[in-house]
Amino acid sequence: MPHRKKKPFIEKKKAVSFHLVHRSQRDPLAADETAPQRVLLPTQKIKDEERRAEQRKYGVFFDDDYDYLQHLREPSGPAELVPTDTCGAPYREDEKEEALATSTTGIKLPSSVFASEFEEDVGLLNKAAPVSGPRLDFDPDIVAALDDDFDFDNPDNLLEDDFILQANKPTEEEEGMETQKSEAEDDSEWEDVDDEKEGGSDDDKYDPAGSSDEDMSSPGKPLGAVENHFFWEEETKSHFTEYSLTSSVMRRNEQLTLHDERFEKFYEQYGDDEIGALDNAELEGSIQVDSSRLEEVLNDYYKEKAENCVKLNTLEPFEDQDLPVNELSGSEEEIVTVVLEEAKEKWDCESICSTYSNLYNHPQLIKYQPKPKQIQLSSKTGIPLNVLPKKGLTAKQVERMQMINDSDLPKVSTQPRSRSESKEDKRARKQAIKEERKERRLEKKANKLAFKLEKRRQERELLNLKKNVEGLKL
Amino acid sequence: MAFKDTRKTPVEPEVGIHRIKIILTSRNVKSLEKVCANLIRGAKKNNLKVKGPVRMPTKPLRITTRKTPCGEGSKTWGRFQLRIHKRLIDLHSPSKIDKQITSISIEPGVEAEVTIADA
Repeated sequence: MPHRKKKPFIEKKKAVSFHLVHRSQRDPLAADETAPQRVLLPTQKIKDEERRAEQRKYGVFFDDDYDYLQHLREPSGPAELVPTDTCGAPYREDEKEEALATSTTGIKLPSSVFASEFEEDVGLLNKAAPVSGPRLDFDPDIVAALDDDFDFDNPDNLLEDDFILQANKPTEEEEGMETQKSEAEDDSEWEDVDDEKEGGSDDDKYDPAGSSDEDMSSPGKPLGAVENHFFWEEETKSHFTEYSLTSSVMRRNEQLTLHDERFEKFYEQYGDDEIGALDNAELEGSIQVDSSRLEEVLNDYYKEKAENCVKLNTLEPFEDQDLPVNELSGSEEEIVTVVLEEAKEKWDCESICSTYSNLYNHPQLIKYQPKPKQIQLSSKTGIPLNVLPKKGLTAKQVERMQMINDSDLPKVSTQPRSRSESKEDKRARKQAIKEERKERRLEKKANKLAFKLEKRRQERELLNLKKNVEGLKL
Repeated sequence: MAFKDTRKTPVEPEVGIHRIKIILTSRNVKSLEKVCANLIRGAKKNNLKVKGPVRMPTKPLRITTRKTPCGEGSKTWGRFQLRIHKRLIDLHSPSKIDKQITSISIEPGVEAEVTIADA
């Protein structure tokens, strides 16, 4: 090759390689439409040996060329943001680590081309996925009720029919009374027997705490009346509690919860109490016909009308010309000529044919005429097949055929096998049967051949007769 | 007489132009050619210097095995093949347009490796 020293397009030592991959679902920019959906992932150029050593560290003992490190994952702890030393180009540092030689090339690329440093815990597609497994944020009594062993017949576990009334009992009672009541009412609550004590102690805790943080995110859960007491005070219901839950499938992180609370506050402005003076509310009362207010309203109305009239006046000359045309065209468009088609007579072949006179028209049924069969000659005798009459058998021949000759019957194979048969006897018998069969085969072959020859001969004779003798006048 | 201008013009332009080598590998030719065509079309639209797709010879990975799961039968052999196609594209592009490279639609089954060097 004459040009071996041709400068390569890219010198491997000064270049950085990447793989073009889809952006990770955990990348917060995955939801961003302006950011490119593919990122450049720097390739790792570790040698085989080093890679295998690394793999063995993680328990992969295969010694082939495959890179098993790509399937390893970081243990997913909460992602932390660690401030970098340089505010400037973080990616540049990454590339420096990757470059093998002492290259000082800082290849400048827009940062959106790379994957984000900060990755969320849960990927974009997994956020809307339904949560499976034990739901720890449910009430323990709910969890108990969902359990298979829950005893619905236990009177302690039944829901009170008038739990709404119980829940709405006046809260002016002292808290001490309430706790006693709570314990008394615990028996009538639909908690599991085991959870009673838990419920009681929980309620006790609620008292000193005042407001609890328990977020009743799923309304409509039938609660014990006692718990309702406390929650009534705490107002954990929001304006949107009764709304559908489809939008709340996305799990709320802190920012979103804050957002929700702010919206709550904002929405309160539109509450019934907050709405200000309604200007167009219905007013009752009567007004004098010639009162000043009415006069003003009328004047306003006339003024408006006057303005409109003025407008028309200036436009009228133009519009005048346009209007009739428009009208006409409009009306023309409206008038649609509906062409009525006369009902045509429908003819078919038979009726048309019946109009022909029989002087010129002689219809006939089309007969099917199959192709006449070609004369086929027999390859052996040369005589056309299916022409000569088939000869039947004479009566004597028939009789003779029906007579069974002794010599025709098999002898050896019909003999019954005696019980006590030695090996030699058995062998002899079998041999005899084989001999018989062999003879019979030979016989059959001879017979077949004889018959064939005979048939041929007879056919020839007949032909000869037909050709030469028949119709000969003597 | 015209004198040759011996003064060397600056080879490296002021703007940060990178040399980018894209290696595309795939098992099916159609999607590979599609991606190639897209890339080159995009590059030409931006008036970049492109060196057209260099087609490497396709590597067939062959496996020849007996067809039978047991050893019985007439000795029939089945020949299986996996063809790997490889294309190279060279570009000179400034760093701003690099972003567009990442936004080319890549067909599934086509693997792209991008090597970037400073010009």
